[in-house]
Amino acid sequence: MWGSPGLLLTLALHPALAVAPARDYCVLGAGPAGLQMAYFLQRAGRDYTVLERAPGPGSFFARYPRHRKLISINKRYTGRSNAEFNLRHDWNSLLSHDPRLLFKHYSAAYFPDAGDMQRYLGDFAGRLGLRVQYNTTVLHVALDKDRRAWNGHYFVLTDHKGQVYRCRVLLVATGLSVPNRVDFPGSEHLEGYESVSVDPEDFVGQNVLILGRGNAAFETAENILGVTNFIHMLSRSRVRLSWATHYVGDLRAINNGLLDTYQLKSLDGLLESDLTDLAILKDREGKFHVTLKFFVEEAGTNQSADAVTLPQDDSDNFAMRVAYDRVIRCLGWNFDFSIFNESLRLSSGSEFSRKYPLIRASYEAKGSRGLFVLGTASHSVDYRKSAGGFIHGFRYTVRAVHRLLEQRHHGVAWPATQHPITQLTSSVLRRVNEASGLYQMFGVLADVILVQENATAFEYLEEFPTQMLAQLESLTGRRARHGLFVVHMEYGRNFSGPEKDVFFYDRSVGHTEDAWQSNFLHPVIYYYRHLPTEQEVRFRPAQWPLPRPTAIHHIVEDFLTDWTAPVGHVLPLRRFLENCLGTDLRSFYAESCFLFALTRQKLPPFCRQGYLRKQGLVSTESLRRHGVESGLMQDHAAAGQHLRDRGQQPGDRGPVGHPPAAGMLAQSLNSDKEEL
Amino acid sequence: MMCSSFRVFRVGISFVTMCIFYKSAANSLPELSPHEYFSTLQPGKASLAYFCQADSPSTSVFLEGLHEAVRPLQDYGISVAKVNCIKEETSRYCGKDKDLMKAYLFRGNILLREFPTDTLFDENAIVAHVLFALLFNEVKYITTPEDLQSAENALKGKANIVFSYVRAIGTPEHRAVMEAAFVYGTTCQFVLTTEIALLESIGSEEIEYAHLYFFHCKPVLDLTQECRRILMEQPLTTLNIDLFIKTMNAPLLTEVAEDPQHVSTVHFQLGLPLVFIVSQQATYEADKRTAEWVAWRLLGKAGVLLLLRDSLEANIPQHANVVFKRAEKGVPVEFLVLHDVDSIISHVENNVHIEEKQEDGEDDVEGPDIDIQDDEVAETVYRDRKRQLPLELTVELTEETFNATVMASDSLVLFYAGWQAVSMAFLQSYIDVAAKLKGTSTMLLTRINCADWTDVCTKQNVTEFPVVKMYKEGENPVSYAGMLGTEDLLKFIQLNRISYPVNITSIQEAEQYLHGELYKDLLSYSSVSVLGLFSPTMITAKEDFIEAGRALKGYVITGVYSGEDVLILSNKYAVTLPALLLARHKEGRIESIPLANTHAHDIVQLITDASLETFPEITVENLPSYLRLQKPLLMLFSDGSINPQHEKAVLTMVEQKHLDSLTPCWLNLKNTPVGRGILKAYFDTLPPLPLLVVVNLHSGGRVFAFPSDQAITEQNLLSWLKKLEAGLENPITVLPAQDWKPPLPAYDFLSMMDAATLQHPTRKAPECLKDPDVPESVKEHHEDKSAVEREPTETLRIKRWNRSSWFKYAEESLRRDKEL
Repeated sequence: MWGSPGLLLTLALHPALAVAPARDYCVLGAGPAGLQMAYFLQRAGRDYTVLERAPGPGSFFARYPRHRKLISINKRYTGRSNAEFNLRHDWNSLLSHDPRLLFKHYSAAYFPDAGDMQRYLGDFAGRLGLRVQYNTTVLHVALDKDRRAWNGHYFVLTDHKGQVYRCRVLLVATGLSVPNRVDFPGSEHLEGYESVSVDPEDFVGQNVLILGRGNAAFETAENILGVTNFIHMLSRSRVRLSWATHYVGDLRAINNGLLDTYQLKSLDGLLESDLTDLAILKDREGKFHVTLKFFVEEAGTNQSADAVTLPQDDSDNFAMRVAYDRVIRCLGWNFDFSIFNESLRLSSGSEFSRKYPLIRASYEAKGSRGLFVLGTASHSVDYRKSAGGFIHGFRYTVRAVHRLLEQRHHGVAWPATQHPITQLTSSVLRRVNEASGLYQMFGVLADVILVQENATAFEYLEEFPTQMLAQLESLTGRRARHGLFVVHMEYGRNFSGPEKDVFFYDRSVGHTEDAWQSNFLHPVIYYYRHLPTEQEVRFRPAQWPLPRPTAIHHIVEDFLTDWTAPVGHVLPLRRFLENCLGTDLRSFYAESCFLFALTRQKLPPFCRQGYLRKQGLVSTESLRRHGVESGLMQDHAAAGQHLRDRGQQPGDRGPVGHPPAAGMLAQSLNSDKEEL
Repeated sequence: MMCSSFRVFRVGISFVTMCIFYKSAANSLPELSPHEYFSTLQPGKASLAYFCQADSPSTSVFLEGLHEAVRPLQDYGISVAKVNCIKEETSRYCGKDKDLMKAYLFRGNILLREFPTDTLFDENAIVAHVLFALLFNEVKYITTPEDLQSAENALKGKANIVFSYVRAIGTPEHRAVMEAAFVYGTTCQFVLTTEIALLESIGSEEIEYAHLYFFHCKPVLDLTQECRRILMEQPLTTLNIDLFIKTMNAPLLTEVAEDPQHVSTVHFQLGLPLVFIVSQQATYEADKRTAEWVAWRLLGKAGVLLLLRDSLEANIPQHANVVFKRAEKGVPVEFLVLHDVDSIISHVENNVHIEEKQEDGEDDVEGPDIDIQDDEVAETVYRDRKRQLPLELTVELTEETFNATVMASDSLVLFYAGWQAVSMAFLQSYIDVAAKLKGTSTMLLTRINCADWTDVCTKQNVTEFPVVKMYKEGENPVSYAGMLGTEDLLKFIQLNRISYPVNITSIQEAEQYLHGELYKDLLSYSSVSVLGLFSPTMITAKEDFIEAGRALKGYVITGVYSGEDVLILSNKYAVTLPALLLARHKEGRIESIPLANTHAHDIVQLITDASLETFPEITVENLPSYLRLQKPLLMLFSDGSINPQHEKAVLTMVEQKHLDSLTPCWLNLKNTPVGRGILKAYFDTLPPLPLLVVVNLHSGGRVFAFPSDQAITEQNLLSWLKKLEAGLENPITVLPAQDWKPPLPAYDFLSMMDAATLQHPTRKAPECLKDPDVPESVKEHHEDKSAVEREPTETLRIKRWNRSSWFKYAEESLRRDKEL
């Protein structure tokens, strides 16, 4: 032997390497995630290419889902014209500036057909002129160390024609493409979801066993429910209902017809057992019997159905003692690790996310810098939590990755808007009421508000990956030296979960004081006096999505997800922000500012930033009248006659009207502040 | 922790220290046989004994109460015991029937009282009854108004009376009164009643609650005179009564000669404000009488002191005759000018909200409700929400119509958000402008609600609200930067009818322009017209000016002339080129300002400053322009138009450069009624107008008033200003320098979450009764909770949340944990 095959390959590649010009960005796969990334790269004017195996985009949707019905909702009407808000209820569109490229223009069905998705993706790539190289199957990805490269190495991609691509950054958006198989005696008798017939006629009068408990398994069952004798479904874990877990990857109600018939005493049924202990035996009539691996091993070489012990031999009421005509495997999909050279150290995740490559919360592979995983394959970050494995989630995480890359390689800081502090409450309100990224990627992406010195202004950053909070400064190119707010959305802490009763009595919270007990998705704002450290993020308290903050605010859940009620939503939010910053964020009419300007040495921020800059808010007659009636404003014209009654009338609102009650937020925060 | 110690020597009872918080719960109730019990009795010492059958149950409601009462009674030197009647030792105190057991109070071995156990229903009742029995002489129980009258008459000139009404004997209020009587019983006579009629006879209202009065009978020497009655306004608790009696016994008037900021008396320590009557040697006697009268009137509400100005080092403003020191710590004292006793009283009463003394942490402080709106803009917009605005006067834009509309005609766009109060307040002014311009303007007034069309707003770079932008063909959109009100916006629109700077084409036209003949209809919107003069070669200087003119468009009329014959103008107005000519149309004056290497933004500044008036009428709209100068304001308050003589005096002084360090201005209360609010802050009562003040806003906030007995003439003003400058005048008031802190606290959700985690981690979670991990006790709690809360969700949403219900429960158990 002379040398490892890897070395051979490298040697063979060298001549090609020398000539292949390097690209800045290579995107693997022209599925939704790949195209979404291509869109952002194109808009930023970056050097990129998308490599796609199939002759068109979104080839996955050409075959899958097998029964053609997408379970991502296509909600065409919300009663709102706010385009950003409407994306909260659009699970299929990719992000773009072109309103014609909204999925609602492609299908009228609430659960659209997969073919429409493929057509949509084709238009997306075509209309936006995305640079996709089709019919290019990348067979191998390796590293070429080069200190001058952005990440210390180039990614070297070889396609089926031997063409070599050198890339500075590799964006893997290949999805999950390898059917998950479980190996046990007799597993060769199984039919896979990917190839099983979808014609119900083929199942007439049959006994069917389906392995798996995901949407694919139930979708398959749903299709043949009406023609089979019965369907048994077998899997290791109990069924997880998406409306209980708030996770769209769990069983959706649209697929759960079998649960209904099972519980209504039809012949269909659900069973739980570890698949790896099983064995399937085929008898002389071609029917399948379920037994245990243990019995098969016991029988040794003679593995005919008659020779092996069946469970019913010992226990005559064994549930699966009938013979099955078909056994179908619907066990999900795995990431295709095979094309990645070992030097990329792209390994699979831990127990719960073995099917995904191991990545950081910034979507960069743990093993090699500059390799990012996008789309469905990146779902390990929020598996069983949020929507990062689905179009309506990863379209935002792809944008976050793009923003990170812009900062890292092009010195373009994370986009942010600057505002005077008087706009703080409004900025938060605007986002919690319309932002789709926060809503879809709840718990994963959050807006970050960086308070500027003396709390007179702030910077607003949208949709930053919360788990990377400690690295915020380096990832965004922005400074967080004077405290920050993190705005995101959460379900109630103990509300969601498999087997939880999400319809329990008294589940909704209506009072602002109970807002922290809200169960439905609602905005939560964390305040940190200092940027949390990596340690604090990693070792945060159990069940906390973020490290323990200096103070926290929940905006009480709202049935209409409309958080604009002046007293129910806005007022408590303002008080929270005020107390975090130790300032008064009320708004005042010019007349009040005028009075303050001449009777006090200091002015509230609203007067400082508005009135004193000749941009005061002038009240109208009608508003002034209401102000006097409410007691918040004084009627000076009428007050001329009785000047004596000065004093603590409601209209006399000096700064710090009342000392805060003990234990309340104001005191603790301010006193801490002074110590620092 | 609040702990007040009373030390009083009482018959048979030794020194006692009483602490409001019983820290430890070492209530040991000795169990004795009758023989043992009687052998422990000491002469003169009080003792409470409960006789019971030996075989009676060891727990009962009464015994629990008795256990609780051991400690407080011991503090009063009263021992407590449970005596078990055993067969061998019969005692006459041992009842024959199990149900007829009683408690007995002894002093030494003399029986004072026997109590059926049902009168001693809890700790409060036990303590109240026992003290009531022991303090038989000190606390007189009465039932009729005549009893009260005779008690009062008997004590006039001798002692004061503490008269209290409680709903029943044995209540917590009764106990509090008895505990106070224990301490103060030797110095005051306590009178107690449970008769409502009696209380009504002395004119009390709201008889639902216990009442306590202090009758000042000791100073009454004339029997026909009534004792002065002071009602205690706080709830009847031991601590409150103690504090109340202390203030009642405190000296009526104290004389001090130190800085009021540092003075503290018993009143102040008790959370009452202090009123200093400022006095000087010459008027001492009269002032003292006034002060005594004030003190008498403010008894129990404030402490009154006589402050001797002559021997005082601290600086007290010259006019001030009263100094008011609020009870809140750290608030600066207020210097007031009050002319009669009534105004002092009303000032104190208006500024004092009697805060409840907290007996213990459990009581909720009913502070201001943080759920009540305190933002005037939000509140007024909310209250006005049902009024229909004539929105149709403006064009509502959408994503589809936005571009087409702003391209098709000159448009003004208001970007607002329907949920934002400031936006909605301004929308009203915007609609007013539309109404005023209806049919007269070529400018299209439009609006777009960014709550609906967020993408359009973002594309127009609008991320804050409200914003007004003007779109004109061939020009970049301009953001309006003026006041958010009808008048200024109207001005902006009118001035924008022409484009700036106006290109003047001939000398003749320039003269017309300067004399206000060219744009007559616009003159009322701009206080000045500016003309830039450049020779044809001065290209950069002209460009700078043009840039400045554009920046000022909508605020000031600007024009530019650079003809070959420009020298005619520069000669006429005696200025070297490049230069500005500034026409003040109102005053009919034309000023010239040379421009040398002045950049655009400096030119903007120059014009802005130059367009300020020398002696303006200050208004809400124009004050910020004058504050920018950072000089103290010399401000004349006038009720109506200014007196021409005063105006002349000030203008003359301006001309003679005497007022260069000040910004002279005047305020017309008719046009700017909020000026009354300012006067109130400066003088407390409205002084006669006109009136001149110097307000030093930028350094120290001191306010000086020109003496009202002097005429406002040049000479008087000049000499007064000289004195001011020399520091010889005292300020009438110093403007507060407090920061604008959060007006009220926020909900502390973090603590609530912490408390809940300690309490029961799954409170709001669905009940999983199948779950074997849930301990039995938690399950039970869940079950009975859900039983209690079987109420439709919607009514729960509407109902006001009861602050004390759950959270208090959590607190209590937390405390219990700590104790353990």
